[in-house]
Amino acid sequence: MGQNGTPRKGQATAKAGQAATELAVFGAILIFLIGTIMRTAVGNSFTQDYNFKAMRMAMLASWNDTKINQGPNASAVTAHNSASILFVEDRLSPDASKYGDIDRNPFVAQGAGTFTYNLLYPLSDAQDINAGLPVMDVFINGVHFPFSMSSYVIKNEISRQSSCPSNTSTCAYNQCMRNLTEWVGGNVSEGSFASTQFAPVVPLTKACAALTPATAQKNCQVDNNALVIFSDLITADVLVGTAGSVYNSANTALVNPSLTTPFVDTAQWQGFVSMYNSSFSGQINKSYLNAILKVVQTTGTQYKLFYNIVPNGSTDPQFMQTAPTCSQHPCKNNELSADRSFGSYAGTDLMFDLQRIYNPYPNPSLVPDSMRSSIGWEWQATAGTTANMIGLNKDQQQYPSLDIDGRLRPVTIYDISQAPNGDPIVSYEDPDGGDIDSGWDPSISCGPKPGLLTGSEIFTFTGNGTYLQVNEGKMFNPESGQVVRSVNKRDTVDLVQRMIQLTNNTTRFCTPCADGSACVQNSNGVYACSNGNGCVINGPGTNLCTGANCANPNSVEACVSESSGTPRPCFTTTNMPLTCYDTTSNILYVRSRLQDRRGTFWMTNTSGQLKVQ
Amino acid sequence: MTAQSTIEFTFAVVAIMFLIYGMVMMFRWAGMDLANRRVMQDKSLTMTNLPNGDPAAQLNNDSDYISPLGAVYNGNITDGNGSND
Repeated sequence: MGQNGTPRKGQATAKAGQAATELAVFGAILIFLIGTIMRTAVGNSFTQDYNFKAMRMAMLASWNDTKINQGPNASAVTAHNSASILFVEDRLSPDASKYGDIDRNPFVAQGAGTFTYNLLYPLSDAQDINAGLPVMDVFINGVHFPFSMSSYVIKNEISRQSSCPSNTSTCAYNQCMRNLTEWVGGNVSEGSFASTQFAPVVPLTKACAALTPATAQKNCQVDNNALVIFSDLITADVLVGTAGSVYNSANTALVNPSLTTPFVDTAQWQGFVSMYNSSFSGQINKSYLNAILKVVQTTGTQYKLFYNIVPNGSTDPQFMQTAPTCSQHPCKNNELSADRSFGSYAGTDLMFDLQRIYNPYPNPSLVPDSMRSSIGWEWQATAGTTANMIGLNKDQQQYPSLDIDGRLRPVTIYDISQAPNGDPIVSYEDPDGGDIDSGWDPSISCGPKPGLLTGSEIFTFTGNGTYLQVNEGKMFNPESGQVVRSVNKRDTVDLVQRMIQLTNNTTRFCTPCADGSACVQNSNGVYACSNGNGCVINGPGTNLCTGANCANPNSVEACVSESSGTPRPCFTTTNMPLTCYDTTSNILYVRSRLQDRRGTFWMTNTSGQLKVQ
Repeated sequence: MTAQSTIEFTFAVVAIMFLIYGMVMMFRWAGMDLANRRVMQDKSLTMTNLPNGDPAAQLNNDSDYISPLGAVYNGNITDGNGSND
């Protein structure tokens, strides 16, 4: 204002500009709010739509496998009995960019459902196993990847290794050692171990030699083919062998003169110790004699012990004090103890509340005596020799789940047989043998955690077959612990890469050589199978599985068998835009070609009806 | 001056009203779209008139329904069910 109250020159224009500015600012805020709400709502709409669709699609897949396979003589398809659908989508987000939307809204939706007549339909050797194993269907931007969740092993002979390789991982070594030690003999007898001094719980018939003060050991020999069952925790020095102290069954003569050096086993034992075919035959530390429940001398056909997990039915901290009195081993059904400590179902012979040996070696997680009655679950063992012994009854549709090979992973057994003096031969469904192990457990599984790996990478095409990785907005990668020094900014994304860690190379996506060997590079730089025939790897279309036993559909586009090299085989110029399976690391690199104008791009088919092949 | 301010104010109010209308419709659409899809799915899953007695019709009725936005006017430009790429 001027001194006389009149507006100065230009003041009226300023007021008009103020109103326009207020309008612009306020309007911009409203438009921003509208845009934000719209983008968020569209994202929510997509997510809800796919959540609903995943559930309906899972139930539909379950139903479609059933409706064409009904009746007692139908060849049932049980692959989608409990169907699971996983959608991974990168959908466009509303944007106002010059050439249309380029922003993507990634989301994951999963659904599972069961709608089937075949819920209790068992597998068998005769049926098309590949059609009957459970499948998890993953759709990544509309491309279908069916992953098997188990394998069916036909007539696998469970043999006993003579030794375990020491150059494997601790996990694999522990599994091998369990499989090696958990055997008992066939023609067994009880009570060949006795001591009036220590008064074993089970009266034993065979006297031990006099105590030897110098060695503080009891001269009670344990034959090679023996199973020693302890009632208590044994921590160290259980089995002590001294040169010249190995006797025959009559305790009168040496039977193993080759044992010429002092031998002390310092492993921590618990539950039982099997020495069938062991190189050791010696003495038991006298301090632990009162912990021995039973010594089972064994000769003849050996039995593999199968295990399952049962609730702890005892409240007695020392509940393994009552051993079964059997006329033979394994015990007859009507000779089992009524209490849960030694069996709750027919065929059970032995039960242990503690973790089995070599779990992990050499320091098992021990359960203190005072805590034994408090633990909820325990391992129960039975001899894997006949259907009756393991509770297998095909007529009654009873198929037991037992750990048969020391992996601590029960498998569903469909058939078992064992010839005299032979090994058990078992047909079973292995939940650990499929593309993805749904029961992966860090404490017992030896491989990496399977499934969709966290994090995805985006690439853009820069010309001449070169793809540039786009790192934007994340300066520090918590997974790798690396700081991204170079941040490249581009406004286009051609590829979105996701990684899926598989448990096994089941050859459903990439096949090995025809003779079953791996295609490897020899010293002359030539790729060949083990029989010398040439083979081609690391290229699009090579070794892709296309037969009847392959994944249907097989959406893998390139197979490589080497993880090393620069660039890595899945990241070469040729393989970069392709979905690539590295059969060495069992990682599947899924490349969604979203904006690639130079080839086929991926787009979810949003028309038509739901379908799972 | 007064007339100019009045005209500007009127123009601003009209513009703001359109924007607020759009925002209100956006709020409405954000909820209605989710609710309508839920209703459509529930209606499909509980339908009893099954073609040929096949329950697959309950699951596979292509109910990818998207509510019309209607922030400008409730017309039929997108038919309320256009592409959702």
